[in-house]
Amino acid sequence: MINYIIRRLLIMPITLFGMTILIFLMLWVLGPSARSALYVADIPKNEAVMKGIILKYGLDDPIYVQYWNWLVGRPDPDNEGETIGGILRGDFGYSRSFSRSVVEMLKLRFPATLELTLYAFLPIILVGVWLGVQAAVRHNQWIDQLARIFSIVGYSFPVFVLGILLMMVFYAQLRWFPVERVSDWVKLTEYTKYTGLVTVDALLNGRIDIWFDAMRHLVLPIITLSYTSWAAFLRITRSSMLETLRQEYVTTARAKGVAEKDVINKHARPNALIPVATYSGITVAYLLGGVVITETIFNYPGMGSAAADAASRFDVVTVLAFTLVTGLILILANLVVDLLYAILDPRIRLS
Amino acid sequence: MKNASESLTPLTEEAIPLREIGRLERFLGPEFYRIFRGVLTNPLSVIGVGLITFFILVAILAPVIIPPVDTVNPFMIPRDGYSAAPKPPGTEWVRRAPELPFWYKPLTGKDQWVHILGTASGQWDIFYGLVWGTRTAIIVGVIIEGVTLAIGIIVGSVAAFYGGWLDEILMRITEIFMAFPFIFAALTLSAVLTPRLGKGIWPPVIAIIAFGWMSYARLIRGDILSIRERDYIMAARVVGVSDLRILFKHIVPNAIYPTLVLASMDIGSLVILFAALSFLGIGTEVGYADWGQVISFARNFISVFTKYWYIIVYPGITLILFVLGWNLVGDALRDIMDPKMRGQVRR
Repeated sequence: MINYIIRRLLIMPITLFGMTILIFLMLWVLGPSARSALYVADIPKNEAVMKGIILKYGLDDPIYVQYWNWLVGRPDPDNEGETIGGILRGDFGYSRSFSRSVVEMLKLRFPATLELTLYAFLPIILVGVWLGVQAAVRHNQWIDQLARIFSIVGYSFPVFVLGILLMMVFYAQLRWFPVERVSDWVKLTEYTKYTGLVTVDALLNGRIDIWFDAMRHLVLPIITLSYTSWAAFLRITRSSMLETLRQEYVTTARAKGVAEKDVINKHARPNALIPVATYSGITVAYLLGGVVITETIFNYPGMGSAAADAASRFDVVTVLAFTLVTGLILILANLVVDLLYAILDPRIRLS
Repeated sequence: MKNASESLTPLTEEAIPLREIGRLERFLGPEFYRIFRGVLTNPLSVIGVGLITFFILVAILAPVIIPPVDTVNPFMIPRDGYSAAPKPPGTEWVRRAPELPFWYKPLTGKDQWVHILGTASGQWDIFYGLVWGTRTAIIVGVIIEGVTLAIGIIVGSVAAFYGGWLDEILMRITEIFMAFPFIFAALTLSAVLTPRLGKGIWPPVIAIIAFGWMSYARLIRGDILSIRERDYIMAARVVGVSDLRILFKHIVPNAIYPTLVLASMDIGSLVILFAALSFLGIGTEVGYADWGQVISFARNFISVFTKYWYIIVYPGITLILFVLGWNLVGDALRDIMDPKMRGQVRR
């Protein structure tokens, strides 16, 4: 197992390095004037000013010099001895479409997205796995049929169609669930923000009313974001469990008189969950991507809607930063999944 | 001593169960014939094939179904005025109505165009958007699928065939491309490309291709790795066949046809991805006939469902049927081609 983990950890820096190169290449395609947003907040007014800025910050230096500057920062031409830029220093430049620095945007939008994806992800893992196992154990009974219908429908329903339908029915018509993140009165209310997750902060402050308001705002985005993953997860768990139940060692266990409950929970399920663990990594990736559409539909102020906004205004410096950060989150999530995999799979655990 | 041949049953046609091999089976070869029959004998996949055929027909016949108003750029959806509130199905078409096609009068009994499925916010005709959007969808789907598969096959087969450090490098690159959440990556690349290439289908198409080939490369690599060790490849080597010829003449055809057929069913979800990017405002210009645009019109006018249902329901049904069609066939194919299921599927 140690070898497996070491190999896994060794690959990670390579992937990270590759990611930064890929992102930088996209910046490179943009041309020097668009890259000026890395160092200057305002759009330069005329050619002469632009030329000055390009010269001043070395935006037409050779590509490797610029990559290095982008990565670790460069000496600030205005302040002697200071460094400017450098994503490793946490400086992603300026978001011209939001008129603030990209890092500020990230700090502002990250907790909202984290909250949304957590609420979407946890139920899938907790309930989805259980349901999938049930569907397999009760093969071809009603719960199985229900799961099957649900997964076919879920697969074929485009996210943005469902989102808009839900919004028209439950927001515009019935007025049950509002859009955005919290109601206006919550925005005006003073309460201590420990984590930035509204629901958690509300509970820490003992404000049930704020918690309830935030939950009401989360319902539609959660459904929209997660139903496809529910469908996929059910399907994977079900088919993996079905296949395991057909294995000979399961028959052996049954033949020697192990109670059916133990056959399922102790013999079959742990093995059936190995592919499910792999799939949960894919689910995280899917949810992280899905926030773009979901947040845009519901005006939910997270990283996804910010990225979509910035992209539609061609504010590439901002979009790239968001993409890099979500990529980083994804890499960490996959690392967790792979370690989990190592623990779940005895072939790796005992090697 | 009796002659041995007399004690045995003579080998007549009845003794050997001979199966008629039809012209079609001979033409397609046993494997493809099995796939072909499997798809056409499963009721669900027959429905899927029907749906796909329907959409392809609509795409081909778009100018006959609703003639273009702007003949220079037929993909622009005509708009009947500029007011924000959508108009329900059956409203008369006042400004810039298309010519009447031959089917219109006999079928509807009117000699004036109406907005068959209503107009979206901004008075874009929904019917026109959906019909010509089908054309966009099929074109886009085929281009994306073709190119991603080609890249996947080339990268995957080169990696698998040569192995060693080349394999290692190519697979690491594949991983790097997979490291980003797909929509974020595609969004970024479209935003980078749009100022260069101008608005249109190309920025999102290129973005989807750039971040979509990896899974095929991995799949094909795996398939080829198992074929590479077979004896007939060794035989080809011994005879002195060149590497490239072995790879593309002997290994690839044996390894990838199943993958190829399965992958072609991804067109459904690729088209939805394209629509999603266009829905987000990346790619085609406002009013271009693609499904993402039509749905984004609905996004611009979120209002009471019972009154304005048609702005989302008709586009929604179109998209769902499209995806469903590909999914149904894809599912059936997966069952037919899964080696574990082989015995269970009726031949």
